[in-house]
Amino acid sequence: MSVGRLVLNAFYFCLLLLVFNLVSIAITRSLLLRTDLTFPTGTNTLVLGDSQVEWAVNDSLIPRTVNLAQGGEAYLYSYAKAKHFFEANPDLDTLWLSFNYMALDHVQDTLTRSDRYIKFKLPFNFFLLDATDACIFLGLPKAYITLAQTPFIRWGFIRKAVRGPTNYKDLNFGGYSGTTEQKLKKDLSVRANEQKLGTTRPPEFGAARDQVEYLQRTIDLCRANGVTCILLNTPVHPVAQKGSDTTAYYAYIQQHFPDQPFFDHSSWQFPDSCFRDAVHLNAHGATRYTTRLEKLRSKGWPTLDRQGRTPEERDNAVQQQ
Amino acid sequence: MLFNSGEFLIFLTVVWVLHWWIVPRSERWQNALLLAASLVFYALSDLQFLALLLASSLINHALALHLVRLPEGRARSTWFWLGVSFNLGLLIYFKYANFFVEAMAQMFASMGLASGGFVLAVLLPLGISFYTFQMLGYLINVQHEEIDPCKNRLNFLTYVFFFPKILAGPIERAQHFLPQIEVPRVLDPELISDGLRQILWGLFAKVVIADELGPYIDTVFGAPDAHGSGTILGAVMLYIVQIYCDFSGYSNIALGVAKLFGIRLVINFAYPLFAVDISDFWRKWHVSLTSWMIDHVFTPLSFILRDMGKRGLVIAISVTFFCVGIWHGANWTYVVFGILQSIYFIPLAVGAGIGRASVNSSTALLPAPGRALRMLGMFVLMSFTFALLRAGSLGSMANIYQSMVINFPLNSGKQWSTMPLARDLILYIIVLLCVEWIQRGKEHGLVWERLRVPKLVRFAVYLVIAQLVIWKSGMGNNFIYFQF
Amino acid sequence: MIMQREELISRIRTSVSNVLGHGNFEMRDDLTATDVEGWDSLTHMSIITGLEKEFGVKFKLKEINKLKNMGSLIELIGSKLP
Repeated sequence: MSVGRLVLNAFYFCLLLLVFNLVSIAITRSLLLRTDLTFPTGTNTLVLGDSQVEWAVNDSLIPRTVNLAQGGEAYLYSYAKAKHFFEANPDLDTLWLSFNYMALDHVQDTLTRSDRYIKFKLPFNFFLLDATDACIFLGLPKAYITLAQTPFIRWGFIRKAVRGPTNYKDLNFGGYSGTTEQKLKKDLSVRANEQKLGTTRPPEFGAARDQVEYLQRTIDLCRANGVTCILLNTPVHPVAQKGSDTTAYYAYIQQHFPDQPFFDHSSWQFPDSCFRDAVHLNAHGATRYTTRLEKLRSKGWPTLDRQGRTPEERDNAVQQQ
Repeated sequence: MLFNSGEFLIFLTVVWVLHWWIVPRSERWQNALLLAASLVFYALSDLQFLALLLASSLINHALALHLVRLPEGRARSTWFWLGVSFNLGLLIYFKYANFFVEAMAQMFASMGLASGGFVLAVLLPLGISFYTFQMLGYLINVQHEEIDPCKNRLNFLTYVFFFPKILAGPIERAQHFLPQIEVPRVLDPELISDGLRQILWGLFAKVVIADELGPYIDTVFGAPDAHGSGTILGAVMLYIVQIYCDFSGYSNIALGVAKLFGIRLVINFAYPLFAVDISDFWRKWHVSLTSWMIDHVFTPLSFILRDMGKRGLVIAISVTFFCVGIWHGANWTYVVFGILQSIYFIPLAVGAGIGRASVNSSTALLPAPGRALRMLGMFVLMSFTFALLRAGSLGSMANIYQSMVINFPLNSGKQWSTMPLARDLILYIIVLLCVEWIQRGKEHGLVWERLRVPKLVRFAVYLVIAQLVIWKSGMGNNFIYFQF
Repeated sequence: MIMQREELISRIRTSVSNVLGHGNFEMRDDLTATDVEGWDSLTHMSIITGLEKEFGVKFKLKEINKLKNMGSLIELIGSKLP
């Protein structure tokens, strides 16, 4: 065999491999885009964001609401989802978007660019991204490998899509999942240890570039579509609240989103039995929280105190004491 | 940097292009490039110990040169043993210090004495078992005048650091490697083509089979109480398949990558799953380690004890396999592993079996029934023994075997199989075993000599394997033998 | 008495055959252990011990390690005989 022959064979091999992968990615994307994204009639509220919202809002208990939040979801993907679902569901008028104490901490850009999250998120969300959004991944080798793996990862969906129509539930990229796991004790112990050893890293709120950019884009998208974007901070355990740099968090909101609807439910007093860990509600906590949300929504979102009480509820509590 | 990563692919391509197309065609430039690339490779894998490895290599290089300047006698012997102590000392410190400290603490505790709260947490440099043995072997060969010491420091460092083998072997002999890099390498398209095919075969074994088996076996070994007897038995039998595919896969990739640079490394696996007896097995499993142990432990020991006849042979075998066991690491499971291997050798050593160890020279498509039975017996025996390398402790291993018995459906009401294996994985394992059985006389599974396979079919095979590797990549684990 | 090479080769062959239990090999200078069924590390020392007893000689480990093939073994034994 000559060197020329070897190089030619290698070239044909790589070319065939590339073509096969491009074609299979294209077919997968096309099947995903054919999915019917319409929500049940009457749905007017979409819930997006990360695991805190994913586990906190039980959309089966609250009418006209669909929860498509997913653990570890970067604002890039929330934005992409919002864009497509707004288009498919013109009746949507409200977006609840997770905005917790860590949302814009600089470490959160790993949700967008780290190999770990590319591996878990890209196969399920890549079809939602347009060319500008996809450019984020240009310089990341993991993205190319993950894309090539996507037809294999989504094989179950492809088989279903080829046989018949698919809807948003077949996309498996978010939705309420109530958990009965009990990790609160362990989590509190770890936090106490970190506090003792002084290993808790001071957060840098607002330093996550991708998160900041796509949060802003989501808010702008909502404005352009006549959708009210409500930033939502779900209940967390008092220990987690004490350990967070809430000063920087509230200062950021004041500076960047002074007029943005913001529901800060982090200080709502929930017993330990409602928490899966210090920052996530469990199924029992989600039922309680969602029921409360629906009650407040039906009353037109009255002003609440830090503990989540309306003025009447606060007065009743004082009287009872 | 893992062999099955995008970063390694880019690294390899760049180094390959530089090696054959950019640097001047002299061994000095080629070796300098390989050394630089190897240093980068090791630094990216384990930067904190790069200086240690460099220092150790330079010390061994200087020591070997010093040894040959000394006449035979006490001084030379002293320097030699100093060198051996230095290399073994490093290995013992990094690999076994934690174990000894913990064992001592446990001993003190059992005697009711406080250990003073002394805790050691020594980090293990990647590849230390492999490169230490390589340098030890080099020193021993120089001392026994089997080879001349390498005067050229660049060549020696290239030999030590050569990136395809630095992290997990094969344990390369200086007399095999150095002559290849003392002359300029010439681009051999046939060798490169063979190297690429060997890499592909290695990736198939490692990524498509070993990595997929990993989570299954981890789940069962992690909680045997929760699984049926069939599942536990399956996991125990499949662990040797996993470790074989992982390690032989890695070795094939290493050998294949070396061929891309015109260098041949020693074959490390010769289809040991088809071994018919214990001697046959160890002639085929991790060949570079076994042959090192034979040359530098078994042969000298059996020579010293040769007047003791069969008893001497048994002692030499026992010590050798004790060393093989603890080479894997600092855990009682490895000690027991080594002891069991030497027990398996005893009938062969003392009985009529000695000298009758079969050579796998038959090329028949199907094995004779007797041979097939012996192969199956060996496979089962070694599966149960190799499971020790996976169990974290002797207690854990005992728990696994106990669960295998207790969780029998009739006793426990549990299903025989509580966690079925994916059908495509079973298919890949069968394909690997069939291909390797047919190809058992060849270096790896994708050697087409004497097979009348059309070029188009061969190409299709490469594409299918490559696509499977792409699809399954990154879903699984690191190389098992990195931990050793 | 200087042993003839033929006699030396014949006695070596007999000694090796006794250990291996067969004589299925040809005595030639370039013969190596891998050419002979059953001649491996387990049987190697037994063969060496057998040869030491047969010829009343003692080998050094260094000498054994330097053996490349049957030819070098024949030479080694020959060099040790009176």
